[in-house]
Amino acid sequence: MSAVAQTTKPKNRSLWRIFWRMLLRNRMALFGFVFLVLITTLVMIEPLVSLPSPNRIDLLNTYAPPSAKNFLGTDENGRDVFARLIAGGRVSLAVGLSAAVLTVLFGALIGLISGYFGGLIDRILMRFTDGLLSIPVFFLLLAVVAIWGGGPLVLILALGLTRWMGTARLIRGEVLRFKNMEFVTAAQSLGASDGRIMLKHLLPQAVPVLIVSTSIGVGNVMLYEAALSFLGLGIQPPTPSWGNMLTASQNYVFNAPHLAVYPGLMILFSVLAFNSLGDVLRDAFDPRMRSGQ
Amino acid sequence: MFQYLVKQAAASVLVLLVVVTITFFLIGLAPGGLGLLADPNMDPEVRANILRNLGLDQPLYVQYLNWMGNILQGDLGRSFTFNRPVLDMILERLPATLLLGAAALLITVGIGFSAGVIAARFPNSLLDQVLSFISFVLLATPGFWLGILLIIVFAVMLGWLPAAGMQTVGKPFDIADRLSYLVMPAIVLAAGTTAELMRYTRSSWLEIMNLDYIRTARSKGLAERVVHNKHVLRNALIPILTIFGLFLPRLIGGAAVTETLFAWPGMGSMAVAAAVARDTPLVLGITIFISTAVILSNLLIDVLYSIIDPRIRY
Repeated sequence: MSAVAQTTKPKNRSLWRIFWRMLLRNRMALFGFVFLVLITTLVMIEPLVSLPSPNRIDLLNTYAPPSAKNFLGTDENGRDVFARLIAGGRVSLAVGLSAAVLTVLFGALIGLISGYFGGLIDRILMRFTDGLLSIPVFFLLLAVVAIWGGGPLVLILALGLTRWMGTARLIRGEVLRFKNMEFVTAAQSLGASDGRIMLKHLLPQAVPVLIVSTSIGVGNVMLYEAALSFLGLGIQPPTPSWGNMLTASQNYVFNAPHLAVYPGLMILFSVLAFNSLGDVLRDAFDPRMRSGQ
Repeated sequence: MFQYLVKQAAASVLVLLVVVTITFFLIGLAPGGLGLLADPNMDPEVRANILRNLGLDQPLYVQYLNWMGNILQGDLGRSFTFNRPVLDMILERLPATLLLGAAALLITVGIGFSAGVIAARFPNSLLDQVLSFISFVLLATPGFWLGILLIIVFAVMLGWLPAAGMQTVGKPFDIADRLSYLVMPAIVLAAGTTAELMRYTRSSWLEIMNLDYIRTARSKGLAERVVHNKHVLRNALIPILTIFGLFLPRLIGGAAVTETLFAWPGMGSMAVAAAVARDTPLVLGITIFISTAVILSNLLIDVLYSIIDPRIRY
């Protein structure tokens, strides 16, 4: 009895703690995590702090240098750059997160159905997925977004429905790995419906993949949103987004090149943060990576 | 063996048709109309004439059937804004985009592959860490922002390179002149794929190093240099072919942004302009043209793949 007690002594390490430990060891991811917490907090408390309004034009105070009133100075219309960065961040992050969640939901749906039912359904869905991967959808995205207007909702839908292919393949792989295991057979023999097995038994197995895909997906989608907004087809001015702030800055490279630096840095840091967090999460979830500790 | 490949190519074409059909209706059903007709003071008769000439007075499904019928016969239709055959406009712009794409591909393979090999030859060295860091940052950098920074530094501050265009206007063909215009757009377009190819090469190189035949090669006393240059290199080249297929659509999508930023007169900037002008036949025509090219080159890549690597059987 004591032998059993000894050998089964559980290593009670929660995923959360493993994640923290890995985060502390990865400097880039730690920096990214702190950056994201900071920017999210700023974006949320911005209405409570008395920042200058991001859209208040002051033509007597254009291209102002940093000061106590304007932390990062003002832009070509005398608007406060710091306030615009925060307001733009709200839009860019919200679009990035929502679209990434949408891609993951859609990818999970396709992946689950394809992997679970197999056969003809699987072949058709996967051919479709692969086919979509070989089309430069970006041009069609341009056209649709140009015509339906680049509001946040259109962007979220357009990006969410065209960037799900990678996730679908990953989830399908996970489903194929688990669908012949005993717990699935057990559920089937108990009379569980296909939908129940997919959602209650198979989907939870794929949660690590879902979380990692979301994290990396946010970075990916944010780059697309920024590109579309930069081309003038995404978020429309005067509403700031990091992408469209760069469009404006392009016209002032001679007298105010610094205006081009901040929004780009914000995009870069956010995407870096989501990508490196995704890497840390993947390592935390992967038992093979953990055994080395 | 080729049956599988041809089937996937056929499936891709089918998907392409479905996707352009959806897009056609998404554009057709959108509120508002052609940018050309935005002028509210336009004479109603002129407006009706334009609509009739473009076939826009017919119901949407009739427009679709006409358009798709022409597409299936290889006719991409006429641009709404320029009233010229879409195919002619594409062929006019194609050389510029091909030049830019080829330059970007050259940078991707030249720098991306070599950097990956260097990193893999000295894993976990300082050099490896620096290269990995650079590629990680490049992957998160918006291409157009990198372009703006390059323009600020090399065109505005230093004045070394021209910021926009493809050649000095009015100057006869001059290779140095052309190159000076090509450098920045090519670097911007290649940045992401270079970083990705580096990471990919590094990991596949390290993976191959663990395989049995490398151990055999080493245990029979081959010099480390020979093991790398002969046994690993050849096998590491194989997966690079596949990644080419994945890069093509990305390079072309990226060309839309890069060409617009640098006023490069290629297909990408034309597609952006067409999207803004709501020129449906032009946007869809460009997409169909490019997609067909990508699908065909994917087919070619897969065939090459199975010829080069005897382990691959479809």
